[in-house]
Amino acid sequence: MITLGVESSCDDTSIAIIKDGTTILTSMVSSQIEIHKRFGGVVPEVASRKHLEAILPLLNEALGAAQIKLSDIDQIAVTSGPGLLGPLLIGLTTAKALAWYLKKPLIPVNHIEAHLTASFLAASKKPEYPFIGLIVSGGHSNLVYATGPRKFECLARTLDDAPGELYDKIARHLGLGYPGGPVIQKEGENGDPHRYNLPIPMRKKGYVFSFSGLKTAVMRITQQEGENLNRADLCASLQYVVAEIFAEKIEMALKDRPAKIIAMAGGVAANKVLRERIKKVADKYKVELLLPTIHLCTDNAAMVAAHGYYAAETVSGNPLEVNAVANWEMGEG
Amino acid sequence: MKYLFIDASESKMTYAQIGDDSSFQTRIFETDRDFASKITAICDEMLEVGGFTAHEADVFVVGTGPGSLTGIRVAASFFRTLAMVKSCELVGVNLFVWALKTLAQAGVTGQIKLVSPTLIDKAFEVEATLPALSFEPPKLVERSDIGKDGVKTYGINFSDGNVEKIELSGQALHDLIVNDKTNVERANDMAGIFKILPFYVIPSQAERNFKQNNKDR
Repeated sequence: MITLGVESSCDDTSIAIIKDGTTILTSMVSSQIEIHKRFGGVVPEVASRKHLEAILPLLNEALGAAQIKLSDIDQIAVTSGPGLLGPLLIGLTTAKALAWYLKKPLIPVNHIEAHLTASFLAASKKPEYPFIGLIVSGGHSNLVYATGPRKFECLARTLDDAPGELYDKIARHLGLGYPGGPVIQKEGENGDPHRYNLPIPMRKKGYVFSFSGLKTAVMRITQQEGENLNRADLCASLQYVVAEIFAEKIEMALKDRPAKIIAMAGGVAANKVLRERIKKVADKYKVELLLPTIHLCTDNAAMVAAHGYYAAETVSGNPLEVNAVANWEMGEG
Repeated sequence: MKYLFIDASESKMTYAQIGDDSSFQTRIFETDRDFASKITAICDEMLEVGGFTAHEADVFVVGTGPGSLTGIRVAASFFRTLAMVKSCELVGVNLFVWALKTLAQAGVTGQIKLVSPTLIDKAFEVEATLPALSFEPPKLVERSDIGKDGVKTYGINFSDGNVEKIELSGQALHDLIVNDKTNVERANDMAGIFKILPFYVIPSQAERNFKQNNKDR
């Protein structure tokens, strides 16, 4: 079964072709990161324009790389939310045109759910339920309990900023550039994670995340320290605290719900400090930790194709009439 | 030559036209900012009206604006993809050319101006001397300045005291699609298809701010 995946929810245009839900034949990404850098964040209008320019050449390239003809494709999976509406519409409409003309099934995919499937795809295995899922990115911070391809119990989500957003804001504040995650990781590589005593927000307060207090604390430290600020130590301390926040909530979930797998996903799941810390939790509870490879952490169409493959039978109504949904919650219809 | 045309540059309604060498039919669909979810249904209905299938179409034609960028992009995404998959001709028709053809066929001659509103207070404006359909790239003008210089001014999806709204003609569009080799964009290969994009794009607020800030420096 060959599935074509299409992704355009933010600033990456991506096309992938996968076989039987587990084998990536090709996965191509056209990143707009350099274009948006100058604005300090993604500009939806610019992103839409660039998606339109990039998507067909990328599709053409992907077909060539996989040595697949369009007639070989059995189904088309596309991100239809959540994300930026304008960018989402480019991918969705392209996928609709393919599905409509080729008379192939169209599978609208929830982008966040797809991120979790990326962990299984990276391990070339089918999703095994139930599992604890952690999605950490620029727009999301969700801890979920997954019991089926589209069945998720949301255990925790952020009350304010997402961790990627926190990293972007702090990186900008420290003059480190964009996107925040990679530059903070690089800056903090040789830093002391215990040098600055940052708070762990919502500690022992149940299933809830909050990052805005952490942002304020970092701002305060930079003011207090002035020229004495050690950016490497601050970045290391920040990453340490963020990892502790997630480790604590995952431990809670493992005590509350039966699961043999922790699946981590999203751009921030590429963070080395976080990956190492959650690995320790997994070892402690003797559960398997599935981490996507770095290129599957960020937005990509391979995860969309894989998730579409597993979620195909849950599609209801006429998918050709589906619209893009900016705030589509995991597990919703 | 069997063709299917869609123009989604007006956010509340979508203009569709289907035809062959000798005849055409048009439909207006109330899409009310929901064009993306209705595009395949619109195409299905038009093809039924035209009596042929998408696989039998020789040309896909898309309105490239100016107008609602979201609608134009959705239509362009759809038809660019179809043209690529089918390896058939893709034609892009911008609304200024369509409007000029409409006026020319109505017997209007001489110097005129065309305006198409954009943003809250601005409009794209072009000058032309009919019956020629050529014009220089449009200028971005204040809406309050439109139609005050004595030149007869026509509006696309727009009218006020100084501007007469044009009802774009299906016959004019048909003639452009079937016969015109110079005033519409025609793509017959992959590279050409990739180049058919929304006609006039104004910079986003972020781009304008960035440009302004860099100018100030």
